[in-house]
Parts: sequence; structure tokens; C-alpha cells
Amino acid sequence: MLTLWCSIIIATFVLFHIIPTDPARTLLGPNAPEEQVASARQRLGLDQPPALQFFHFAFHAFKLDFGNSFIDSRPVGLEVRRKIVNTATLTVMAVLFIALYLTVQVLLQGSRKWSRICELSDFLLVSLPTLFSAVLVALTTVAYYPFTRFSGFLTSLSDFMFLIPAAFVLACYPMGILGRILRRQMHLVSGTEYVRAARARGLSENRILRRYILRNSWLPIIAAFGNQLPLLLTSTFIVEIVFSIPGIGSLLLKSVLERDLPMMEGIIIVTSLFTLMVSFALEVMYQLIDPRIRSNHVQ
Amino acid sequence: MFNNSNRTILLALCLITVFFLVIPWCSKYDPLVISMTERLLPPSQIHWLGTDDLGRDLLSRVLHGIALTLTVSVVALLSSLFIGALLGALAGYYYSRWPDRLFCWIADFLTSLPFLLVVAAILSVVGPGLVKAYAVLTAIMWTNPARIVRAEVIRTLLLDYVVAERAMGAPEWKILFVTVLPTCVDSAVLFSVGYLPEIVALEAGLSFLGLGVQPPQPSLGKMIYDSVTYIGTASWVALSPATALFLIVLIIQGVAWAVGTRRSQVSLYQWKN
Repeated sequence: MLTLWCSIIIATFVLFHIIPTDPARTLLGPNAPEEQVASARQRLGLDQPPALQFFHFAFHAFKLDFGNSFIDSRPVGLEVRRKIVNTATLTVMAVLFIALYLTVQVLLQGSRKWSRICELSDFLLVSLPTLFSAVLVALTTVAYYPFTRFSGFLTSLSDFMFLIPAAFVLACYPMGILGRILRRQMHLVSGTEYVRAARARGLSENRILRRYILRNSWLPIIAAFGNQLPLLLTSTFIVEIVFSIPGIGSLLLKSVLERDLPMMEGIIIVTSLFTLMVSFALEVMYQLIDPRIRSNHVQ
Repeated sequence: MFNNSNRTILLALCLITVFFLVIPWCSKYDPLVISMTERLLPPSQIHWLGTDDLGRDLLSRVLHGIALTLTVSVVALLSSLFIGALLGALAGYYYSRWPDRLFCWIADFLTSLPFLLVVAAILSVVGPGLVKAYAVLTAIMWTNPARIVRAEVIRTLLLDYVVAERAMGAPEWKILFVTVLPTCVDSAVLFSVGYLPEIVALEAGLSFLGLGVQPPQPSLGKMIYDSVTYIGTASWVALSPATALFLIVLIIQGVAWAVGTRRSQVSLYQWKN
């Protein structure tokens, strides 16, 4: 994980410091006089050799310090950390929605009619592009939902209530994908010998479902969720902009439009750190859920 | 090289694309003509879907936007399939030696990051634009088909008929690209078509962020971005491009479903894990 993050830092450095011809020129615009550009270059430390610049950059990046924004001179690290709280909350709420949906699917598995309906709803959820569902939900929210004010910080209950429709939109696509996998996996597991054996021993259906089928269907779901995570973050950006939530997505849009290089570096490095940490946590979760993986490691 | 269902799917996709490329020419309004006296008109008999904040006819903008989105996505799909098949075959051939290691590392690196973030980062440095957006899209999407092709090549290289061909003295490049590769592309095609809705959504997301198609040209994502401001007052401006996007994705999903790519949806997880 650390190697991956280091390589992200290196890639970011190469992308932003080596490829563009001159960040100082970008900062001041094409019409700025040469002396000003030179002094800006000195102020930003761009006159030093690239290797030295890189060590400077990497050292500070490790401390999540990316210098000040080009546009309004606010410290980037602080700004990004402040905004990522909103994004992370949104993501967690979306995960709760996904969990709720999957639970409902499990409960409805018994009857044939309901599982057909689940299949249909999965198909619909997968087909909904985030932009479409975001617009649709935003329209309904504006018309009928009482919580339409967001203070920018998660301070009161109404701020949390504001995030709910956005989190729902975010959850749509993963819900469909994971629902499909869940049903397929449960179908596979319920055909195995040990489930048949459990049934033969006269265990209750409820117990078979909980202890035998579900426990073994978990792992692929978690793995698939790990695959969905980058996509989930991608749709977070869009959802944040549609619902005007001040998070990483809107910050990214702003910094892209203003060509605010330090801000973009900060966003990329912090967000990728966030992604890596979550996938690492999932990795640990595999072992907690499935004892077979743990014993493999011991051997 | 392509089995029956693959051929049907690719043909159907091309037909759909051509259909949506032709249809915009039927609309009588120019999607770029601004008319400030007709701002934000609701849908009527003159403007079937109403007009946007600059008085441009929404129907003709939506149709042009669909054509553009679909073309970019299909071209990105095909080129990522081509590049992916090539690189995947090479990686599979050099299995567990350094080209393969490098390949796996790059593929993991690209997939462990949020797409839009990477694309936005690259495009903000090289500058936005349609061709660049399409190139970056391809540069990221090639990993999926490449992984599948790699896995298939590794498996196929051990089969008897490949060993037999080698024993007959066929050159290595011929074994790889003529004997092995064509049999391995099948499942990658199935999978990639299953991925097309995501490419469409990604393209829309890019232009939504202002990194894809540049302003005067109509594009679905940009139209949605511009209309977010009017969501409380003029809902049709947001609703029509969004619905168009949904319909494209639904049509593609439907085609993939009908021709029997159910198993491509499933294989996504078999291959990735």
C-alpha cells in the first residue's frame, strides 16, 4: 500500500511539475511581465533543480502539506481535509443504503415472484446513469423534500438529512451490481453439499440462511465492493456538484477550472490515500470474515 | 475470431451508432443558434422539448449530443479493446517475467484510482478537448479487456494444439498473434460491451466537468451541468438531456442483454478476483 501511494506521489509530481512548461507562467497568465514570472518562480521554488524540488514536494506530501492555493493562498491541506469529511460522510451513507438494499434482497429471496422483482430492480439500477438519477432525485428533492439547506459543515441533523437523497443517488449503481452478485452467489452456495447436509440434519431454514449460505456469500460481495469503490468516488464528484455539496468533487471542479495546481495535487494525493486505505481495510476484512484465508497465511 | 453472438452485438452497436448519427439531421433547428427572445421556453409544438437558457432548441441539442456521446464512447471502446488485446497478449506471453509484472503493476495502478480523478488530472494539465478526452478514456479503459485477454492467453498457451504448432516449428509471433490471440478475444469483447454503459456515463461525466467536448458543441454532460442552476425553475432543461443519457444506456444494456451477454456481467467478477 505504501509503495502504491509513493508511486502516486511520484506520478503526481511528474504530471504537475515536469510536464507543464511553466507553472509560474500558468499562475500569472500569458501577459505577465518576465520579471514577475521570474520572481514567482523563485517564490514557488521552481528555480531549484528538479531532484531537490521533488524531495521537497514528497517530504511535504507525506505530511499532507501541499503549500498554498494559487488562487486564494489558503493552505491546501487544511482545505482538502475539511472538504473530505463531507465526501466521506456521503460515501458512508451510500454504503448504508447499499447494505439496506442487500438485506432486503436477502429477506425476499424465499419467494419466486419477489426474486423476479429484485432481478428487474437490479437491471434498472445498473442502467441508471448517475447523472440521470441525480437530476431526477434533485428535481423531486427541490419539490417535496423539506431539508434543502446545507450549512457546509456537518453540524446539525438537518445537514445530515440534506445528504440523504444525494447518498441514495450515489448508492444506485453499486446496489444493482452487488444485488446481482449477491443473488448469483446465494444461488451457488445453496446448491452445495454442505447446505444440503445441513438441511438433512433438520436445521431451521433461518439458521441455514444465516450460518451457512450468507456467511459464504459475503466474500465475493466485499471483493466486488472493493472493485466498485473507485467508481463510487467518481460518481461522488458528480453527485456533489449536482446537489451543490461542498466536498472534494466541487473542489476538484473549481481547481480544474482555475488551474489551481497545488489544490489539484492535494486532492489527488489525499483522495488516492483515502481509496487505498479503504481497500486495505477491505483486505483485512476478508480475513476477519473468512477463517480459511487466515489459515492460508499461517501455512 | 468473433463468434456468432459477438458478431451480432458489434453489428447492432454499429447500427445504433449510425442511426443516432443520422437522426440529428432531421431536426430543423441549428443546435448552436442563440435566440435571446426565446430563453427557457417550456416544451411546445414549436420547440418539442423547449429551449435552454440561451434560447437554443433543446431537441436538436439533445440529438446532436447523443450522436457525439455515442460516437466517442464506441470509438473509445473499440480502440481500448484493440490496445487491450495487444498488450494483454504480450503480458500473457511473458507470463511472470518483467513485461508481465510491469503490465500488472500499471493495470493495478490505473484501476485503484477513481477514473474521473485521473482523467481530470491529466486533462487539466494537457488542456481539455474532445480528442484528448477520447485518448485519455482509451488510455484508462484498456486495462479491463487486457486483463481478460492476458488470463486467456496464459491458459491457451499451455493447450496441446499450441504445443503441437510449436513442435512444427512455427515462429513465436505467429503462434501468439495468429493461433492464440483470436481465440482469446471473444470473452474480452463480451465483457467490453457490458462495460459500454459505463464508458457512456464516464464520457458524460467528463463533459459535465467541462473536460470533454468544448462549449459551443452540444454534449449531454455539459447540458446537464448548465441546467443544474435552473433545476427549481425550468426542470425540462435538465430533464431532457438526462433522460436521453438514460435511454442510450438502457438501449445498450438491452442489446447486450438480448444477445445473451448475461454471462459477461458475471465474468467481470470472475476475472477480477
